[in-house]
Amino acid sequence: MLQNYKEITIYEVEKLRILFLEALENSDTLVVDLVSIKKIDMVGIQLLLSLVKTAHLKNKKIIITNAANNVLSMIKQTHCESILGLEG
Amino acid sequence: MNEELEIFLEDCDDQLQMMENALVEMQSAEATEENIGAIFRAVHTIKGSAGMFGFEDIVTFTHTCENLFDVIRQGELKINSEMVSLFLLCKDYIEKLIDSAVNDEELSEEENQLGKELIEALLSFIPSEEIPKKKSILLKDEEEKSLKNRWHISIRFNKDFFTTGMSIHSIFNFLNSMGTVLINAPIIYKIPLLEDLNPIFPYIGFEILYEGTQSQEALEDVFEFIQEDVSLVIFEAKNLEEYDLLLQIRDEELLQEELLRYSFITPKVTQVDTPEPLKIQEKENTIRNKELKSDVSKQSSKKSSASLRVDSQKIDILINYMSEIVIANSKILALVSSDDEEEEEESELQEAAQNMKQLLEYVRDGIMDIRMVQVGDSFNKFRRIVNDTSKKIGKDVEFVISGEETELDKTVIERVSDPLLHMLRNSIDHGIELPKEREKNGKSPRGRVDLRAYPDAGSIVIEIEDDGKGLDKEKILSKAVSNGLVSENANLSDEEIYKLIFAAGLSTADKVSDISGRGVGMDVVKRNIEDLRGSIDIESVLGQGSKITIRLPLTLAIIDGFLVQVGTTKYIIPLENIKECIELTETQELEMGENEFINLRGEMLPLLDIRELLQEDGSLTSRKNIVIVYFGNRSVGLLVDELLDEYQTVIKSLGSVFHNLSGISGGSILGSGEIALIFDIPRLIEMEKLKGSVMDD
Repeated sequence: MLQNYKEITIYEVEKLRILFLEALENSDTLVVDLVSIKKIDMVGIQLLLSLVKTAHLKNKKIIITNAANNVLSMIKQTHCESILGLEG
Repeated sequence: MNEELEIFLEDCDDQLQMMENALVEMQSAEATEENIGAIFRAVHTIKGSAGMFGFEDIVTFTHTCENLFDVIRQGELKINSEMVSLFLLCKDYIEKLIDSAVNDEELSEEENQLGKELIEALLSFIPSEEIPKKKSILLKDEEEKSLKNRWHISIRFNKDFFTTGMSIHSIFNFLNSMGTVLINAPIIYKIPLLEDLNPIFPYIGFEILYEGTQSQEALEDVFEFIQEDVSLVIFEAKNLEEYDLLLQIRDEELLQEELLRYSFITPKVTQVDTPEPLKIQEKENTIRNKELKSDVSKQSSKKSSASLRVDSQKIDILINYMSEIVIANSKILALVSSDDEEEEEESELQEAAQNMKQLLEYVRDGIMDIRMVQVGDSFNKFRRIVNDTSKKIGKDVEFVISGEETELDKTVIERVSDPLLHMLRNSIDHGIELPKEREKNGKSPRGRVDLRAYPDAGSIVIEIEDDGKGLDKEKILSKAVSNGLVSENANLSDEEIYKLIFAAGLSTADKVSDISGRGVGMDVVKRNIEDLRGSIDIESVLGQGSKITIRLPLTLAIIDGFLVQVGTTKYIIPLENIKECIELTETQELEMGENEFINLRGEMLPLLDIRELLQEDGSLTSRKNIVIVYFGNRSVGLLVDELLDEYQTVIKSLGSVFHNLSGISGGSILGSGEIALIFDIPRLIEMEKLKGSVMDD
């Protein structure tokens, strides 16, 4: 789903928000593979938090995975890794 | 560059300037506590601001500077001239670091090497016993621990925070570099569902438990740079009561649950220690007062606290609109006065229009006033250059600035800065003699260069005066003759000879240095000053020194003028240059004959016939009038046909086609739609002076 994206930053968040909304509409399990993502900022982290919240409310399963080290360390700095299920 | 970065850059510029001023002062006088404090604060502020943007290189470098200055500040080390020179180099290097960080550019290898060398040099000054002392801050021994405080930091972000370009991660990094973040709890309950999410709005917040040796004030300073972009509450974590106040201030339903979940508080604390309502109110006031107090102290520590930073482009746009309004209003006034139907209505309309004119004048003056800045800041920048230049060529120069509070249009100051710098360098390089030579001539070995500013007759005068060797008339003249600038038989006055140094390609310096002496520049200096509608004069006494006097208009965009007519063309004379208006009587005309001057109350007044000068058609009236104009100490009478009215004028450029039209500074559109030409009085007087007819007052 994110293969066309290299970053989740303030410049991509609106497009991704719509993409996530559509994906949630169309499937019960959503896998957000961060393998292509090289950079994330606080705006991106906030978007993922909203995605997780929305998925839970809609009883959809969400898996966020394959975060690169630097992306994971950015998330860990904000202590949001457990909420996003990225504790590994 | 985004607005926040621009503010960061401006703020750093101010801090670096303060640092440089203090250092240059230290070079010539004893270091004062005040100067040392100013430098320490400047470096500290830059470090803090850079940390907010995540500019690690700046933080690391300034941190080392700060360490050394801290030792000096504590009185454990006495600052010497070697250190002052090193700090000046560090100031330049910080400037470079800021520049590359803001422009997202990498430093070159040489620049990185320079940074390393500077850090080594800084460390070499720190007494060896101080280094472990500094490092020990990081050690968690018992003694250190007891000095540490735990602080609760609660942050919420204002709606535009994400678009400011500042990073929350940088704040965390910075806190981690200063102490230990024990708990960092993201407060996420305000983040809405995807459907309702405005992705660039910061819904998230953080509650942080931080341990460090800093005081509350020092901790608040960390956030100084983003204080307008965040809502911040800081209190000592051991004061459990303050958590109740935090809950009240934040007014967030779920915050208490989160504080419990992350173990900031225990259930017992919140239930048992809840103060009574009155107490809460009192305590809340204390916290708010604390917040206010810290705001006030921050403001008082900032020089420009009572001012507002405005992009100068915004003011330019405002001035442009103002100019258009002035033109439109002139048109209304012209229509009102030409409409003579229904007398009663006309007078009311006229009154309203006059009222409008008055109000517009106030608004105009207000806007123009915003552009006025004190020349002091700009002048102080020259201290370092004067200092470095004189040192480089082995001269001892006392540089004295006066009239720093004089105000001038910002654009004028910016545009006059380079010419002033050039002339100051010339004064030091060519004017001031070497100490030995001065002593030989019975002068003090230390030369003196004065830079003054003061208002005079509607303009601002800037003087550069030195007590050096003065200009050598013979040398200038012979050089000018050999360059073909003047003929061998030319009979020139002293002033005319001095002014030859403004001719392109004329330098009397025997040696060309890398500071000056190439003869390139003084002509550009003169042109720049004249482009600002200013003038430049030189006085000099051989062996005693020279004085360069620059006269500049207060402002560039709108002026009060006086409308006159010659033939069929209307002209505007700046009101600030007008001394008086008189009618040319028949007797005076008879007395005048073929001469170009009249007897005005017993004194000769040279006349300039505008009709003749600008080849105007014949007069439409039989009367002739004289407008006596002056600039500096010179007067001339302009012979015109009709005196019309006072006129508020917007100066519009005439374009390059009219570039060679001397004596005219621009044009203006009148209310009637006609074009009026604006006289450039300094230039007109200059032209007349060359003819030898101008009267000195």
